[in-house]
Amino acid sequence: MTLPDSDDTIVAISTPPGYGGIGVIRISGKQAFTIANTIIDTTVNIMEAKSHTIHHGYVRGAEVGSITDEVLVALLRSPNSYTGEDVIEISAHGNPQILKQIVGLAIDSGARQATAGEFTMRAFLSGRIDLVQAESVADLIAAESAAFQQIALYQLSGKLSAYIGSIRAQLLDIGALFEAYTDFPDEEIPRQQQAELLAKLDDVIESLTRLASSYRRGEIIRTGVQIPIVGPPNAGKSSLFNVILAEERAIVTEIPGTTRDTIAEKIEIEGLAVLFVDTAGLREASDQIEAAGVERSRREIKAANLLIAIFDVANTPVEKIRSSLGEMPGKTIILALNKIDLVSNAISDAYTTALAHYHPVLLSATTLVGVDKLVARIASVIRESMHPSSADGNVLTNKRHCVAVQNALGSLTEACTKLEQGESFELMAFDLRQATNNLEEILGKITNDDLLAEIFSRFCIGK
Amino acid sequence: MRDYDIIVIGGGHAGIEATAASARMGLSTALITGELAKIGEMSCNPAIGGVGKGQLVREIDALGGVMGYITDNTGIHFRTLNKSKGPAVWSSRAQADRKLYREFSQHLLSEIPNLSLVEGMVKEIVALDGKFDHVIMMDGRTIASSACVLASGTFLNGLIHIGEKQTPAGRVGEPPSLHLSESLQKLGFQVGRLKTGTPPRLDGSTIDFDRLERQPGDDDFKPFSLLTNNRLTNRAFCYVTYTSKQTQEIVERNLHRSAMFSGNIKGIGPRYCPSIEDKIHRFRDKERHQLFLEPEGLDTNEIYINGLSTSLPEDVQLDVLHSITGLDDVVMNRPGYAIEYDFFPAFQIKPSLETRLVEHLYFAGQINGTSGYEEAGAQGLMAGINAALRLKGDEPFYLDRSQAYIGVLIDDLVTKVPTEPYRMFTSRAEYRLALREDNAADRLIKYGKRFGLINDDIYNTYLAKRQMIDAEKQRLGRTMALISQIDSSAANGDKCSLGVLLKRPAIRYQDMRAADEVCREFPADCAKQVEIEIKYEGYLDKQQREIDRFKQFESKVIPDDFDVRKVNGLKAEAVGVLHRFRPVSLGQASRLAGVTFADITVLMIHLKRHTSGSVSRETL
Repeated sequence: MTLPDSDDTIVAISTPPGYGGIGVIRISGKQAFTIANTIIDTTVNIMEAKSHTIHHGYVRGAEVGSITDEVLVALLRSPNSYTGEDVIEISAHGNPQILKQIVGLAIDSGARQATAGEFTMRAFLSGRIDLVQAESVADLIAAESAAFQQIALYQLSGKLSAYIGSIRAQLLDIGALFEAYTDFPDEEIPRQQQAELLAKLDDVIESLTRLASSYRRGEIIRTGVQIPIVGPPNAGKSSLFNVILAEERAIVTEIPGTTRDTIAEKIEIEGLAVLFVDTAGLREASDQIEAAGVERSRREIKAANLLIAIFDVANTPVEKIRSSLGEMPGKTIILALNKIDLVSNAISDAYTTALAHYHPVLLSATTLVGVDKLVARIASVIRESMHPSSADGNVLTNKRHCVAVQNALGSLTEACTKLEQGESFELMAFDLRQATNNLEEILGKITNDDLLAEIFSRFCIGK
Repeated sequence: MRDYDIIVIGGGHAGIEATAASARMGLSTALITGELAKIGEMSCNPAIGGVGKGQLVREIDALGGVMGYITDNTGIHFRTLNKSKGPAVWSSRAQADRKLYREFSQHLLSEIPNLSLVEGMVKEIVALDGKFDHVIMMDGRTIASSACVLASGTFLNGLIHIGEKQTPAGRVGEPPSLHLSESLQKLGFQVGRLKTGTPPRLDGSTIDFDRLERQPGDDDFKPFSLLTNNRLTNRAFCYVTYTSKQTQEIVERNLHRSAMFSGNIKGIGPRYCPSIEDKIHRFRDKERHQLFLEPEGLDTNEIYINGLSTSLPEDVQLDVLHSITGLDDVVMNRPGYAIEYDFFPAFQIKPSLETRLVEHLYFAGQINGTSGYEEAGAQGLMAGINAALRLKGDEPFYLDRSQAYIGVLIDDLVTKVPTEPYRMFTSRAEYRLALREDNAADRLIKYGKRFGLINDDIYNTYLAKRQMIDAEKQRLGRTMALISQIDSSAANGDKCSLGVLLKRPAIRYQDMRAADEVCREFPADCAKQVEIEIKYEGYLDKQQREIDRFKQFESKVIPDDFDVRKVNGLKAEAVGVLHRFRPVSLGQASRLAGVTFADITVLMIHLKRHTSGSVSRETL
């Protein structure tokens, strides 16, 4: 992979493909204003108009005197633009044909079609944003949940970078002490400083550990939570699935084993994307298709950390429920006891008491009794899984960052061990330098063009 | 008519190395200096080496320089510093007999063919069409040569301060060079001013050594030079003493009379080698400061007091001395002083040490803003080699940061704006674990051999040793032994290879002699090397990965004809810095203050296009 030329003026459609009320075309680079001036007729002189002003105008057609579209054109002069270069944003009517024609006109006038992420890359190259911020732009665009959007915005604001930068500064500070021990053998340094150093290192390790462990949370925020609904045939899995989604998504019949394949749908709970998965009922399958479905269900259970186990209280003895739950060790289980509309209060109370350990939720997927309680329960379990509190915005959502933080932690832990064992300072200084390098990698201080090209290729064109 | 191929101006540590190297590379070379008898003078303390500096001396030696050899032959006290730490930071240091050092240096130069010594002060450097041509001496003589190495030390407009008194001088008792700096400025060079200092000299017969802590030399000191075959003997002691509460009071009371504090000195002084007034003023809480008493020579009683550099008036210096343990009745032979001098910030030279403004003119030593004999010697050697290579039509010789402290030194010089005299520290070397004293020859001897500065005998002796070490490492790797025989804390019966055992922190090579016959016979200095290489292996592997990554950027060359001002997308600050420093590689560019990673990326994109013609638009 190579990075594209940063001298060219680039153009792309910046709104999503398809028809819309308006569509926006972005042009960035030295020639942006000249190109806009060539292809747009306005009452003002684009070349001389003030920055950050919007003007009405017409995009000229390919033939003399013809018009492609009536547009609004925004003028953003360097360095106060998204890319840091001269930028023109043309708001045209949202017809893909029109937008393509305007891009074509810009290219005819000297612009080049932008590659994926190239606008953001230019923002990075012009020094407006660092690598973490650049990556967060892609996240922000792709964010499916409010929580992820919050994190991406936090990262874009540069706060995560600043936080990592502050840890790096602490490391440099500690490193300087190790260096002093090494380079000034005649200087007397009090013994107590060793304890101080250890305490300082511990502080950094604690911050980084918190950051590294936030990745799991970050991943949940980024990709959402997956919750399979499992249970025996005819327990009401598909009914519950439909009820939660508030639509008739899965086919529901009275015939046990109706659901053959898993179906998944995403909704937002607690600001998080939650993917519910309806599964085939667990039993000895009667045919090959069902057998494949049951196998998929088992895989879902295996992969899940959190699941809803649902049972039909009208037809399932307590012992059976207990043994089924026992087969899913290590999982966070939300136990739903369905079809309470078919049994007496006494019986449902008996089930509650017998299975009290699991805090069962009694409900009926038909009458909707208890469904609210179940949803509230799901929300609270998700909240707990987000622990520690998400008030701290320093959450890693990017694998690259997480790996670097873990590497840094590895080096620092080694430095601590050596310090405790009284080993020589130049070795600890080496570990510290490695850790510092790892953090700098995140911020893009040391990296190579392949990595950059890869990061920016995650963008869609026009960003 | 050329009088010589190369002339070297200055007979200090840089000048000696430059002269010896270029003459031994076959070029007729003249060393011009104010007083021939002062060639090889140690202007400050009579010691060579120290932390970070010992490494430089061994590198100079491995490349075929002379500093290590002179020190071995004139040293009277040898010690390895940082012995309690790891081998990467073990640093050799020697006290030399000041007079012997001078005499031996002069004798050594007199035996080199192609080498002339010329007495006199240079007044002017003359360039024609941007190329060095000749020098004009104070007495009107002109001396012409094809290349010139300027190693003028602290002599350019040197001004000595002792309290309120100011005396123009290059060194105490010697006149400064008053016109040379102006002649360089006329050629367009930008000048700066630095300051350094030296402590008083004492009469040792008036010191009560019995009350002081004696510091003997090391018995098993490894000579600096590959040329030295004999064991070195310690013939003198150093002593340790401390300042007192009274010292502090005297200094504070007289602070306003120090040239450093009265505002008389404009030059910037070094932070790491502060004057006593600086130390006491800045570290008020510290009860006492350590001082070293170092002998100046065998046939003199003179003592150098290391750590007491000062520019206080003479009478105050004497009061200060008398407040120090053991020095109650000391006689001061001469006072300490501060000296200011002109230097030329090193963004004006290339990594070959040739100046950008004047071809075939090289700068070495304090003129580039460094401090210290070893830093000067390293530059002198590199300048001498490069001037000789240039005249022979060969490519310049560079060392990078992963190869040598010399590489770190020169790279720092050409990428940083000097804020104080530059001194080497081990922490300046990011690949410190790989740049050790013990492997200087492994890293550099091949270059010394290539330039003809290392003879075949020395090279072959080195190779034979290297082979022995490698063979022994392999043998240890495949020789199994009972662990309990070597490590008494281990359980009975377990076996492992000697190589693996030696990796344990507590196990030394000699511990294996109990279990292994070959170990008993193996020569001690090679054994040390085996031990270091095996113990450090894991770190060195990790470090190597960093070096590989470093080399990726170092190998991306910025061609001479590449004009950064034409690169679109670079910030104005970066363009200014890049244009000023003219880095030779992307790696070097990345180390310049004011150049961000984004700028490097922009450069990278443009360089690709510059080197591969133009990028086709279709591929974008």
